Amino acid sequence: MVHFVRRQLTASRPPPLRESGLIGWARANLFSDLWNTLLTIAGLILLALILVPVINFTVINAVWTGQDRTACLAADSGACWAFVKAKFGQFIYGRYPVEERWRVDLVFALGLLGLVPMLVPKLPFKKWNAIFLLVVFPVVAFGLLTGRLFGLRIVETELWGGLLVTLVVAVTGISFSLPLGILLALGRRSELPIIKYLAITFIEFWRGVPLITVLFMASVMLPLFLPEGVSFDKLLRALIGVALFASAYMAEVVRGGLQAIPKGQYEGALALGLSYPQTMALVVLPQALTHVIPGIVNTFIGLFKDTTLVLIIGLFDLLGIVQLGLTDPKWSAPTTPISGYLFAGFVFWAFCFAMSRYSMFIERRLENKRADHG
Amino acid sequence: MVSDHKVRESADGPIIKISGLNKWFGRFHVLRDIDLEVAKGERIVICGPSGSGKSTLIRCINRLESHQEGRLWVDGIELGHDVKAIEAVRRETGMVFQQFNLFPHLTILENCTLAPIWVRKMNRAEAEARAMEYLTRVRIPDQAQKYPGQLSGGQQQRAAIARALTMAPKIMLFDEPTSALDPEMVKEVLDVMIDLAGDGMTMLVVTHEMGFAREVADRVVFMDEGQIIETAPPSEFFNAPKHPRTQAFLGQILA
Repeated sequence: MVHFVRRQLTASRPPPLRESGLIGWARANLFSDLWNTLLTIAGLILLALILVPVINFTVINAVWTGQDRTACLAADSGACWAFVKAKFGQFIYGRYPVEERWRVDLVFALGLLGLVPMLVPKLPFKKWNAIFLLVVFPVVAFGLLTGRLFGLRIVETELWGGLLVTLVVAVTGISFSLPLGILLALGRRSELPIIKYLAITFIEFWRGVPLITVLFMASVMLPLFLPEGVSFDKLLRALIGVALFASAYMAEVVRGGLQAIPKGQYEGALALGLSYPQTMALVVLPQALTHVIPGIVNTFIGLFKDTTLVLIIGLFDLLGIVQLGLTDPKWSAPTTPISGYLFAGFVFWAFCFAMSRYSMFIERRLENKRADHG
Repeated sequence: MVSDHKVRESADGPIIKISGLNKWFGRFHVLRDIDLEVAKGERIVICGPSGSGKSTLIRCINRLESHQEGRLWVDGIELGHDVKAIEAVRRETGMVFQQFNLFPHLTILENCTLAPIWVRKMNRAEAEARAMEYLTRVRIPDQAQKYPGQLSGGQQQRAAIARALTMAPKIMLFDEPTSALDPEMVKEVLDVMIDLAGDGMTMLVVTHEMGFAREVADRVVFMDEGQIIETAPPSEFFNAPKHPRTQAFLGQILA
């Protein structure tokens, strides 16, 4: 067929319908042939072997109420949730005075009040929301928690503990590490040698030492170098250590994003007369940071879990306070340790999983928005 | 080098003056003894084989590239290491790139209002009205709310031209604006540029579109091996090229 001339144009029509519905999906994916069917059955059996004892232990045989260890001593009893229930206040607030705990609750509530509308893209007033979250909230939270503002009773940070310490360390670390990391990443790519080498030295130093060493130095070594009589808060020292440590990691994540931005973007912005800071803030960083959302959230999650290391300098975060609770002879039973660790693990998992899901949501949203429809 | 061609007379002197310009990339001598004066409203097409330094030359004019020897004035401001002077020149000089360089995270309208708002300190409403005016002029007002990735190459390049124009520049630099486009989109971009030329905009265009040069240019500058080989009005340049290299180049591309 050397010559061909189409006589009739083919009209566009919808794609053929696939086998649909749950049964259709299962048939196509789980039972498509003998081998696949066997694998599916084996998988189901394995799942049952794991799930049944777990559910038995955590729900069906679990002990939900009780005054002390005797409730959890029965041979076939499951998780000792009565222990978690009895210690719950401690797990959340540490040794924060009971009559002052409303202040912590108020800070949690204000934080949620600021954070949730910030995270929902559709809601308006983002600017005011950000000002509340970044300026008003930290001051109010500081005042309420320490009691140094509003004429409240002062609560030393020695008494703080549990989830409160975990969140204070994590939130401070997260909110300082991102801006610091961005500055360090920009510094590392600077053409000015002094700035560049300062940034490199800082990053490589903090990445080179383990966080435990940092915390240990902050708590044991630092006081040796300070003049007599000058001391500053142990929690504050841990906060600074964690923030600087995380910012070094963040800097490298952000640098990865900066490297993905083509030179043409800088040139396009500079050619319009934008200054270097404007080029970075308006053109380069918004793109670079979007590229590395997974890496940024990964660092946040790592940081969140690393907060458990503050135990090393005598601060009792959630895990620390759970472990402390386990030493209470009143609750000494075979199932209390595993119940305590399950609880702590679940709380950490819930926070980290939430961060991970939120980052996926944002990524998908940005992808859809800028989709390439040709 | 330009001595045998009179620069168009203008009351306030040339808007661009380049004298004795030399530039190296490492050991590679990319621009050699460039002398060029451009009068206000003049339209210059720069052509030459690839690697001849023509893009580098126009990138020196808004200091995307720095030169090592010689002097360069744009609108009376000398370009050197002074950041303020560089920013001042860039405000008055629009540039259109081969790869468009639109900002993919902003809509077309936001691309066009970014610099007016942040550099010219214009208020948003005014900047948007002005951006829409230029987007209408390049015939894509209906694309204003889309992102660059949703436009065709020709539409993106026209948006890039509109973006440069919103700064009301005195000079427009075009660095191979149609080289990255599919053939059927070249014309829509050239039409916009011809329209702009009709307005009396000072234009320096690096291009291989000889039809455009013939129709629009006041002068054609031919470069090879980092130097200006010949400059002439298009009629002379295409019909009676003097230098053997120009003849060879034209022989190849017009064959």
